[in-house]
Amino acid sequence: MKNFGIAAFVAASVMASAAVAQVSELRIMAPAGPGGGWDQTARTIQSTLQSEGLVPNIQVENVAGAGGTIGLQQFVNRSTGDAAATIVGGYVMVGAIIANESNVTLSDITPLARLTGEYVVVVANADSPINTAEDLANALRNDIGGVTWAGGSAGGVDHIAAGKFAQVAGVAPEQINYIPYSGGGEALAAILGGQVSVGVSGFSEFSSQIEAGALKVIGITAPERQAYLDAPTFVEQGFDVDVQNWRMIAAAPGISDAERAALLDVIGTMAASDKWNAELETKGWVNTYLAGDDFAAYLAEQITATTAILADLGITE
Amino acid sequence: MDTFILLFEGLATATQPSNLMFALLGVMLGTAVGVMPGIGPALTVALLLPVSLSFGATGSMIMFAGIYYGGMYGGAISSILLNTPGETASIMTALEGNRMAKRGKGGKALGAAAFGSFFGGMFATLGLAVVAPFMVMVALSFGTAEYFALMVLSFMTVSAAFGGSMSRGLTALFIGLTIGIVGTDKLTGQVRLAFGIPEMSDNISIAIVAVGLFAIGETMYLASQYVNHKEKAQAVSGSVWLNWGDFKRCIRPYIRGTGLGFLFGPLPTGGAEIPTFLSYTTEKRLATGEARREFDEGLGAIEGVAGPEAANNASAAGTLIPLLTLGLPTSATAAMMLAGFQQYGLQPGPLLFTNNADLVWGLVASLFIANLMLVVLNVPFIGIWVKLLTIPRPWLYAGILCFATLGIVGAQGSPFALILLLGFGLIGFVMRRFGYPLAPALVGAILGPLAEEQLRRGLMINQGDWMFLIESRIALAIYAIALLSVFGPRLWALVRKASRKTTAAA
Amino acid sequence: MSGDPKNQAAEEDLRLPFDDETGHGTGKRDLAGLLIAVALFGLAMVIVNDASGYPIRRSYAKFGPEIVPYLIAGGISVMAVITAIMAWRGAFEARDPLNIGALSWLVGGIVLEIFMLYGGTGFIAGSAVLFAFAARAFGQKTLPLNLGIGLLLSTLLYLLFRYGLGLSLPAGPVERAIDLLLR
Repeated sequence: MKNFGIAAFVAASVMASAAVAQVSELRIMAPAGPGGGWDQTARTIQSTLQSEGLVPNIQVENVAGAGGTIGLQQFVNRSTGDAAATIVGGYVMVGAIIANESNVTLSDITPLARLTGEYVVVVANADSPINTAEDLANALRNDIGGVTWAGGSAGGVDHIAAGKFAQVAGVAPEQINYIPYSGGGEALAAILGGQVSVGVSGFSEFSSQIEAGALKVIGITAPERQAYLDAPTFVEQGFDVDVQNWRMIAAAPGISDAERAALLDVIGTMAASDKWNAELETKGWVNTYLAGDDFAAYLAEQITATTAILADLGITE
Repeated sequence: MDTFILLFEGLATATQPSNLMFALLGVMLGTAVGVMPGIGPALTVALLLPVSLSFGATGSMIMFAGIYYGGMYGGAISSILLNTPGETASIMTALEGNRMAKRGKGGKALGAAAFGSFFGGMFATLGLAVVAPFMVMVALSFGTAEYFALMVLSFMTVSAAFGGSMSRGLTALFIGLTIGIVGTDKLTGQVRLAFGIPEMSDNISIAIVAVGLFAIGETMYLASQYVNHKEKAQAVSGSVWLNWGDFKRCIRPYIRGTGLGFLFGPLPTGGAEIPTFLSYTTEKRLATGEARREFDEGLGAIEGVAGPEAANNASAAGTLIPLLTLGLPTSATAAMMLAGFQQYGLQPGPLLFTNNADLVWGLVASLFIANLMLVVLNVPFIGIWVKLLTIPRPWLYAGILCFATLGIVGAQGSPFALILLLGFGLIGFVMRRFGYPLAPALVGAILGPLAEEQLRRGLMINQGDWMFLIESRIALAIYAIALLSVFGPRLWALVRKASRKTTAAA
Repeated sequence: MSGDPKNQAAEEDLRLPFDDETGHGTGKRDLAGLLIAVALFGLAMVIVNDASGYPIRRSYAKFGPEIVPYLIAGGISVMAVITAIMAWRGAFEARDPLNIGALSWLVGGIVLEIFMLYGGTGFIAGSAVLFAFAARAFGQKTLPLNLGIGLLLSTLLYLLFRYGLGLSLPAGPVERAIDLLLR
């Protein structure tokens, strides 16, 4: 729902890169409908790989539904051992798999790399008495139900960020008065109209209103300050909240080590290319590339942490 | 007067030959995809985003505006001729429009729709240029209480779509409400009525419900009635074109529809559905004379096409107000246009008007151009569209089925959508056979979840205190309108009768 | 009923909504109508059964996800009773005889297309078969002709939407051959 950006459709300026292992064909599954974040990630990968001459033949396939778990299921069923099959996914999928009790999980696929990410910001109306993370924490301690949070769907990234903040502030996450809205626009209207205390969503949803001064930033869930936003992180205000809505690419289960290495090589070259970084910048996405075993470890840690926080939020048992 | 100087400069931008080309392309594409059930302007814009980068910011925005308007009109074509709403915005158009088409007046209905789209789009765009800042304030002052009141108003007026039988209308409405609760509850994440099927844990797409109930159900119904005789569909009887008399009947519905569409467009309640419902209801309530007879006897009244069609294009323009001034998309297509802006590094919002004034006014001007293009392009083709009905019936209906399944499979990417489509087709068939109206089912499926969400969200914000519903003056005013719309005509009749009696006695 | 015309008009206006107003009923007991009533009642039971299984969650709304389903189930039950009365009294209009053959061709075509798409035969073939079956349902019996037109139409649609818009449609051997050719 965030970052509707665009994949450039540039006439292929083929630049042969001899160093890269040969991958002649690739299929990318976007486990969501056309237009959403995962679809755009898939199509950006497609256009970059093609115009950089890394993979000549790429197709994107959309399978929408249930937070990506329907696409994932189909991917695992059909593509085992197929080195040309890849799938795009992200943090939302981690939560969806847990909440839907999906019988196929991320451990059934071969993770390749984290590609992009977006940090979550907590904002308040410019007229709000809440200015800092400390103010927000105090308000929560005083009257936890009186602080209303407007954000995305229940159990989603925004909800998780809010829950983590509550935890760090010393109040029970499942008692926060979190009000899910179906799109960033609706939540934005509620915050601007003064109907809720604070808003929590990906930075891009709020960026124009922040710039215009209609919203003020209470904090951003990044580990360190971000160049595009002149506002403190939660970490530097003493609240250890680090949440990233990341997106990744993964390969099919059961491929050989050599095949995995070839794919990692191609993806790594892509992520370092100027074209890719230029694309990300126009979309307002941050390059948070993390590949191979490091990413696999990160993924495992994310799954554990998310399972815990979803239980704390009362979303799962 | 600054506004108008800027607007003229914008017009100069928009009438450059290349931009006219983009407008033309957009309107053509929009109309084409609007006709396809299931594939709408939002999906088209999404799919075209990558291609459009080479067109430049102004060019692609103009094209998207054309797609938006064209899509609204394309939806009307399939509604009127095939009784298959191409978009949710044209569900109401199908009611009277298709009845007209069945009597050989499809051309007139299409004409009323084309001019209605033009009228609604034109005046709402003008309104956009003049009162955008004011409308934004109104939209922001609406909270859950006001939205819930709007839903109540819509529900209370839905009986206009019931047709002859109240009990069957209500049954259809409840079936729609049931469809609406299938899937994940937005406020708690609870999955309802999915029976463990992962595909059902998403809310059922309204496109599937609409195409299933209308297109598939209608086709099944016709097939089940098919007896082997050479029946020729009556494509045209009398003139295809609107005459002055028709036109006069359309004027008032145009004005009312435009007003409704423009008012509701900026509100984040899902776009064009509510204003088209309300416009249809209004026209049906207010109809007198010939129109009254046509509404009551199911002959198809032109007012019932004119009003909703003006409303849906006007709401398309209204939608742009919060999009441009707040960066707040209130419909799926608007969300995709927002994406289009972002691809050029433009961030719609309060600063867009000052930082990129030329682009904003170029866009507003291009809306005028796209609108004009829509009429110029489509009116001459009405005669050809109507010819669609002269295709031999076996191939016509087989073609409709292929179109419908392509739209659904393409948009959902999963054959499971077809199973749902077949299911809704069978429900639609049974409903048709037993005289149940279809429109209330769709109204229920669209409005039910919205109403539930607003109510529960309001209760969350107010921590379980129901009083918030009656603490808002705007909401109370809306309830008053709702009551008036239901009991008003009866009271009025009683008052008139009573006064006639007193005058007679005096 | 009083003879006063004003009263009569008022009574007519405020008539209970549950009577059937059309007045074109057959007056005969209607088995199919009773079946609809039973189906509606069944639907209400399904909704209640589903809603009763939701875990209790604490929320500031004090209005959980189960309340609206209960209300809807209640409404449907009432409509089921009314439908039963309508069917008993024969308030449904007379229906034309059903052409089961045509309906079976149509439904069969859709079912076959679903199987073909799940089985990986691809959009073009599935769509062509649907076209042929549907045309057959409407009395066009020349199967090869129908199939031919269906193939032409679905290939055209595939090319248009796959290459014009970049929509992904279920692919089978035919689609892969086209993609290979056009690459």
